[in-house]
Amino acid sequence: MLSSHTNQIAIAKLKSCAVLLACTFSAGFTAPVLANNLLDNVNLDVATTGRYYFNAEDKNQTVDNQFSKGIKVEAKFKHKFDNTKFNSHLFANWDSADESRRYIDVRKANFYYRHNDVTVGAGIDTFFWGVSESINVVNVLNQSDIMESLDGKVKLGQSFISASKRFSNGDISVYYLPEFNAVTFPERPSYGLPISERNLFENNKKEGGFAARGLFYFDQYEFAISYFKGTRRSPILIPQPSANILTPFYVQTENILFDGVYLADDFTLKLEAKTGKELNNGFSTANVGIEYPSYIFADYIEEVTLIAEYVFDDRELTAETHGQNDLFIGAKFDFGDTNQGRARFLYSYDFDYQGQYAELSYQYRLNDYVRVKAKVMKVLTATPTDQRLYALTGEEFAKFSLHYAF
Amino acid sequence: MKLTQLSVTLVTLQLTLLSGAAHAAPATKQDSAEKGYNIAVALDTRDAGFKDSSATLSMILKNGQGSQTLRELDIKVLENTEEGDKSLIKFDFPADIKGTSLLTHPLRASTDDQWLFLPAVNRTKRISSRNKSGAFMGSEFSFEDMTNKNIEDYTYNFIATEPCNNATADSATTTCDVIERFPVDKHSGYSKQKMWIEQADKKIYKIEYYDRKNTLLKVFTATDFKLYDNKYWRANKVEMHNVQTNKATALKYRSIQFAQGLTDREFHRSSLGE
Repeated sequence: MLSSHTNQIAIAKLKSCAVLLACTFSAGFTAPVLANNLLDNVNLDVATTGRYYFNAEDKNQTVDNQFSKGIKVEAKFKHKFDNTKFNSHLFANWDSADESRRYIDVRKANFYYRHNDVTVGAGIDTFFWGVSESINVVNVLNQSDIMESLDGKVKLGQSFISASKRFSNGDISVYYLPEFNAVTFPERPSYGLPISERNLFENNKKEGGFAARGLFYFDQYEFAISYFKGTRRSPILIPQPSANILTPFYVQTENILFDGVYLADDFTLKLEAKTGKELNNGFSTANVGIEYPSYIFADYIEEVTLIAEYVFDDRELTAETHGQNDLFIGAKFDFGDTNQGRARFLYSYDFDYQGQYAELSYQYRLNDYVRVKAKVMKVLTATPTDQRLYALTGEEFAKFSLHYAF
Repeated sequence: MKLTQLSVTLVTLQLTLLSGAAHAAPATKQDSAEKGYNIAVALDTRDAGFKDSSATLSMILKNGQGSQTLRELDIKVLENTEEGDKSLIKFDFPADIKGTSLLTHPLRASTDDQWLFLPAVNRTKRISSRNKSGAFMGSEFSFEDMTNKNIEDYTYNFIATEPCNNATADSATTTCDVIERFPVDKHSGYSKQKMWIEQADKKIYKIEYYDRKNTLLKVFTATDFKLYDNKYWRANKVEMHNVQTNKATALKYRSIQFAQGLTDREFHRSSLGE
């Protein structure tokens, strides 16, 4: 069975898809010719997955699913009719041990119509805002799919209506986001206490929100200034001692956001910053970093990219991530062979609580259709005062997937 | 002025404006530089007025032990006489990298603007000049190989005139100018490039790439030339062979079309994710 909450979201999104597809086929295109063209634009990625927790029982001692196996399917479709482009991306996951990981998500089901320099779009999409490697504090439009990735980099689809205008060195866009989706938490990794299926919302508001963004580039600078107002995607987990659970509490937020890069001669400087108001208090958070590509190991590794980023967030306990005064250092290794082997290492150190976290990921192509991915994460040290990181201690895991894409 | 080099040879090899008799060796170093520059200018101007081109091709990656992997891609080029031709390279196969795109806006006065779109993370990443010597999608072509070059990106030197010695059928009777060019960008992966340019039609038959230690690194060869629209010569097969690792990447063109009405809109940064 699919988990009930994510299943309902998926059904709602699938209805949106059906409407879009109905619109597509009602346009009077000749079926057989169209079918051939459409099939050319369909891609499937089918993967077998495995996940192994180093501790047999979760911290809550409620489930015992040290090893699980599963199947993951992603279907993509893209087509263009004159000035209108259609995109869809359907994601489905089944896990043998964790019921919450049995879910479907419509990552994309949208169309964009372009006339001269103006584009309007509607449907479901996955947006990316940001420039950093560790934590993207400005990537605020979509809900995180934390079952796929704890760092929040993988996103669930978000319904939207948008309009954008291009100019020679950038573009400006406005978005209306009609729906809000709450986070679905997996059984593992657990967060110290079971998480309530009941969500709380500030002033009972559950709003996708409004957003605007202007992206500009000139010379060696590229930056964007954005605005967002709506329900914050990342909840505050409030302990309920009487029930011994954590209750997700979603607050209203209003943000001004900045993200940009400067390409210096030998390195790239990056900044993501966000300031705004939540719970009647002002706040600010930022990720400032540097990226340095090195070719000194070129005889063995084609490219090594060194990364150092510092994340701060003055919201402390109500921060969106565990990076509230943290240094992230890491490296990306591109082995440069025909199999496109790539590895990424990331380590974080918390200056306030001395918490340490590390992760290592790797992917390798076996042939034109088959590739493997692996990732291992470990909380090296964490104290109870570092709530977000401490919650993950004892929940470290390794995961593996074998993909067939065609 | 633009100098279409490799993507270049990838998309813009063409008809020449010059014809001619074999060049005599220049008398001085200055003469040699001037002659090399003039040949580069003639190469640069051979395609003037092509407006745009679109090509579909296969990229075959050979690892040196005999195994091969395949990529399918499209390359679009938009003529831009002011700053240099814009290019958009988009992968269509394998499925997991479908949509991966490289957009380049050359600039005469500074480093080119270059963006890489990665569909797996829905992210457009600006490429820094230091990254440009890195391998492009695991191939023997680097990011800098995949951009259209301007005349100002190099200094030149004429070396000699000699038989082309190319695998193309008529090459035994053709004559090539051999020139060297030296990258101005200090982040280039090369110390110099040695080019064999056929005199009559300004076809680039061969380029030797020397690494920063001035050792031969890669050899680019172009064969199976075809005349399109009765004006533009294109090589239908090109190969980049890394002589230090014995790896190679071959490009085989399936179709090339000109003047399809492409505009700046298709080459806008915001078009990458669409």
